[in-house]
Formats: sequence, structure tokens, C-alpha cells
Amino acid sequence: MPLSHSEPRGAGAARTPRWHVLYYILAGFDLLTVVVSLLLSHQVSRLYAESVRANQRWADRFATLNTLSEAAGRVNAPGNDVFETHDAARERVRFDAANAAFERLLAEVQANSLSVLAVCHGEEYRQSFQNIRESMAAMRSEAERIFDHFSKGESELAGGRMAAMDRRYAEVNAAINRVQNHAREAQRDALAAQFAQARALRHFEYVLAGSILLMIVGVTVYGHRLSTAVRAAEYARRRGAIERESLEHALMDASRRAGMAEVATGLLHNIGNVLNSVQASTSVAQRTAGEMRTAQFRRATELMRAQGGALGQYLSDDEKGRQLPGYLDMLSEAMAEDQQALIRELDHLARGLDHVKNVIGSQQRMAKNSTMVREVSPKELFEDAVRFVSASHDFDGVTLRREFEPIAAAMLDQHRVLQILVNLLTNAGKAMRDTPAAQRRITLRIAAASDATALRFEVQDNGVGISREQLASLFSHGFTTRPDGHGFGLHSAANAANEMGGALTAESDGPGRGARFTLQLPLRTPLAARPEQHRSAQPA
Amino acid sequence: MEPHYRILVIDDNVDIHADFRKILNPETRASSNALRAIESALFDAPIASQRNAPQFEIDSAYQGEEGLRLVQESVRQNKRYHVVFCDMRMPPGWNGLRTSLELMQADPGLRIVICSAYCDYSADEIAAAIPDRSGQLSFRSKPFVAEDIVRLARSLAESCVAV
Repeated sequence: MPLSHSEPRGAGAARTPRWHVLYYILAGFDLLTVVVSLLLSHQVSRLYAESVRANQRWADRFATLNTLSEAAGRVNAPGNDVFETHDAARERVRFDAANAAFERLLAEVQANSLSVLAVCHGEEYRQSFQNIRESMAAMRSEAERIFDHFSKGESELAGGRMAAMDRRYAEVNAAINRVQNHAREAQRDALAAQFAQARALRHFEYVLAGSILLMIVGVTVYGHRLSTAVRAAEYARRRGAIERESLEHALMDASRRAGMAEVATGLLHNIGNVLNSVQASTSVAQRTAGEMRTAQFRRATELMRAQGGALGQYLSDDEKGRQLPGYLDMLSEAMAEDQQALIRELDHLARGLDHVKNVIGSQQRMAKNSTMVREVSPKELFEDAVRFVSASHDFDGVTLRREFEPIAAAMLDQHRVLQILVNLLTNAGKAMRDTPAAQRRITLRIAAASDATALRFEVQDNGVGISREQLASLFSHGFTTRPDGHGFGLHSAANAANEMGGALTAESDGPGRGARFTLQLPLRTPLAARPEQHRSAQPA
Repeated sequence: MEPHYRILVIDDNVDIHADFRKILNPETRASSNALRAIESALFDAPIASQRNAPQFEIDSAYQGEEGLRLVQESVRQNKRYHVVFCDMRMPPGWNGLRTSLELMQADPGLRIVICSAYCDYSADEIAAAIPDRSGQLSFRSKPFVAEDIVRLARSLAESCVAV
């Protein structure tokens, strides 16, 4: 039996096909056992029916043999009765009738039973019938004599034959008895044959019982092993699920860290670039200030003072003096230009520093409330996110359109919502790289659900759009269409949205037709904080 | 006649190009020469001669691929660039590393300065990634100091001409 194999625990891959084979072997064996037991039962019932039929036949045969004795008695009776009736003619008629009846019966019996009995006692049996006939013939001739004597009135002589006739009658009966004995022997033989058949079947029965036992043991062991295997599989499945879960957590952590790294990288890049411009402006301003002609201006005024009272004559008559007013004109013009240049660079400088201040301020606000859910203004949160990304090259020339429903405050995890919004805005900016700068447009929306249970942030761009296939896998781990993307952004954003009890969804009419991302979050805020319901559209 | 150097700036940020122009080619006003002439007459002494500053001719590319095309074109026309300033992160195309490798192949005499505000690679990692046999590569991190960039551009361009 293949059941005797001991299988190593946990060898799942190798075990499956073996269980499979084992199952079919067991099923085949069970089927065979059932078929064989059905055959056996059929055989037994057939044997029983056979035996009943045979017994019936034997009973019939013995009854016929008894009838034969009675018929012999009837042949004998007229020979005796004639001594009382003295009517030889009538008794002879009775005798002839009984005789004919006996002969018929005897022929019938011999024909019916011979085929069966001849098999075992053929010759002996025929001999017995021969004996019956011979004894019968002897008895008949004695009876004929008795009737002859009576018809002649010699009743004395007839009486003398009576004993002889009865002797012959006894011989007939003895012969019939012998036939009966033969029949009993034949019946015994037939019975013995049946017993032998039954005994043979009994051997078969033992084998079958053994098979059924094996079947039960097999099914039990198989069932036990199966349940063990199922339990082991269930255990492995649960352990796998736990491992998967912890892996998912690790991935989520990693993607969240990556999301934060994205913010930090963006921050460094922004500030780095802005500071570069600041540096350039500073150096230009320094050089401009250093090259201002203040020393030359002083020398010009010294030259004028040195003329004392003759300044007018100097300016009108002296060859150098005549150049001085023109020079002062040019000088003032040059100094005005220097001033303009300085103002321009200082403006540039101030703008850059302001931008850095904003970026750092947003970062600090975010860091301060990193894990706290607190009451924040959705509008300010959105504006913070815009400040984060607006320095990026991708936002050059982008028109921002704001459609904010006046929702004064909501309970939000500021840090995570901001991170998601920054991500969405960054994506929107990058999606419009191939859009002509003048047509780049991002619409920002804040809206409350009609039943005031949810809050929606929407970022809609008119950039490259998203194909149907991309939409399907947009939020999956590692998905990106940008060569520099790592695919953590939207995945971790969607995860974060789920963890906050909300959802992040994307819609697009297809490639080239823009996209809309919606961050939906539960709105937990006292309704008193929300005044009128109308929409206010504020162009950027 | 002051020396004349060709510079190529590769950066995805438009502002950076403006910064390079501002730093390398400070604007000189047409009026300053006239002023100087009158001053020497008025004050009887040449106060300051114009600085003998080299002139930089600056070209711009906003992606690595575009930069490579310009360099290949310059080799074909035998108007080679002396120095290339190349940003590290320039989505969506090649990064500074890839771009530098391509440029070095296109023009082995070129001097390349990789500069980035935020770098995914350390200078050691870049050095390991790019076999730099003849000191072709330099590194600067943004924000850079204007004087340093001018000095670097000048010395690299001179060494390039000397080779």
C-alpha cells in the first residue's frame, strides 16, 4: 500500500502529486471491493435459490416414489380382495387398470429422475428399476394365476398362490425402497456439492472481509493524513498571511519614507536652486556697488572746489572745464543705472529669500504637527502645498485656478494630507511638461460632500492624461511612467489616504486630455464651522 | 584682444542659465568707455584701464541629450566648447552622470563640471562610475560662489587651450 510511505513534513510541492495518486489508488481499490462484494452477494443468493429449488425437486421426487409404492399396493390389492369378493372378473378389471397406472407412473418416474440420478448411480439405478419391473412381472403372473383359479372355482389353489403373490409384492416394495435409497444418496451427494460451493464462497468471503478492512483502514489513514495536511496548509497559509502583512507594513513604511525623501529632495533642490540665484544676485550687486564711480564723483567736486570763485569761467572757457557738465550728466546717468541694477538684484534676492522662507516655514509647520490630527484650514493646507511646488521648473507659466468651498476648519492629519497634496501637485506639474507654457492650467478644488460627511481635495490638470490601462495600475506599488520616478509616490499616497479613512482616486478622459485626482477624507468638524454653501472661484 | 572661451550650460532649470550668464559675463555699459575717456582728460591720469577679463560665449541646453547634440555639432564645425557645466538631476532625460559619459566620448578634450543642488551620488561614487583619466571632471555643489565659478571656468578653459 502506498499508505505506508512516510512523508516528510512541509515538503508541500512534492507531496501534492503523491496525494493525488494515492487518492486514485484508494478509490480504485474501494470500487473493486464493492464490486466483488456485490458479486459475492449475488452468488450467495443464487446458491440459496438453487438450493431451495433443488430441495423442492427432491421433495417432488420422493413424493413420486411414494406414489409408486402406493400404485404397487393398488396392483397387489385386487389379488387379495378377490378372496372376499369372489368376483374374479371385476377384480381382474381393477387389476388391469392398476397395472396400467403403475406402468405409466414407473415410466414417468424413471424418465424424470433418471437424468439426475444417472449421473452418480446410473447403472445401479437402472438395475433397480429393472428389479422393480421383474418383481412386478412375477407378482403379476401370481395374481393372474389367482384370478384364473377363482374363475375356475378353485379357491383352494388360489389361496395357495396368495402367499407367493405377497412374496413378490414384498420384493417389489424392496426394489422401490432401493430406488428410494439411491435417491437419498444422490440427494446427499448434491447437498455435499452445494456445501463445497458454499465453502468455496466462504474463502472468498474471508478475502473480501480482509479487503473491506483494508479499505476502512486506508480511508481512515488517508482521511487522517488529509486532515493533517489540510491543517498544515492552513497553518502555512496563516503564517504566510502574517508574513505578507508584515512585509506590506515594511513596504508601506519604506514607501512613506520614500515619500518623505521625495519631499526632502524637492526641498533641497528648490532651496539649492533658489540660493544659487541669490548668490548670483549678490555677486552682481557686490560688483555693481564696488564699481560705482563715487571716487570719480568726488574728484569732480574737488576739481570744481579748486577753481574757487572762477568756477563759472572755468566751466565756460577752460578746455577741461567745458567737459565737466557733460561728464557730470553722464555720471549721474551711470549712477542711476547702477542704482537700477542694484534694486533689480536686491528685488531678486528678496524674492528668493522669501521663497526659501516660505518653503522652510511650510516644512516647519509640517514637522511640528507630524502625527497630530488637528483642526486645520483646508484652504491653507492647499496653499502650503502650492508654495512647496511653485518654485519647481515644472510650474513655470502654470495658471492656478482655485475653486474653494468655504470650509473653515477640518480635523486632518496635516502632515500626511500635505504630503499627498504635494505629490498630486508635483505629478500635475510634470504631466504638463509637453503642454505649451501659456496653456498650462491646474485647477484646485475643495468641496464638501452633500451630506457633509466627507471633504474632497481635487487637483485637475490639462497635461498628458492617463490611458485606461495606466489608470488600472496607477496606484500599485512601483508604478511610474516617468524615467526618473520610483513609483512610490501615488502608492504611498493612496495608502496614506486609506489609513486616514479616505480614498485617493484618479480620472482621465484618456491620453492628452488631462487628469483629475481626488483625495476624499472624512470631514470631522462641527457644522458651525462651515458658513454658507456657495462656491467662490478665485482666479490665480 | 582678450581670450574668448566657449561654455555650455546643461541644466533643466532656466534660472540657473541666467545665473551663469550673470556671473560669467557681467554686463558692461556702453557709457563706461566714454566716461573713462573723459576722466583721463579731466583728472590727468588713467584711473583704471578696463579689466583684461576673458569673454565667455555661453550656450544653453536644458536636457542631457540636447547638450550632447550641441557638443557633437561643435566638434563637427571645429568650434569646440572649452567647458561644460552640467546639472545632476534633469528629469525626464539623462542625468548628469550619463550625460558626462556621453560628452567625454563625443569630445575627449572637453572639461566638464558636474554641479547639483541635491546629489543622488557622492563624489566618490561618481568618480567610481566615470573613469576620469586626465582630470576632465570637476564637481561643484549649488549654491556655488560666483568668484569660484569664474575662476574655475577660466582655469579649465586655459588648461583646455593649453592641451
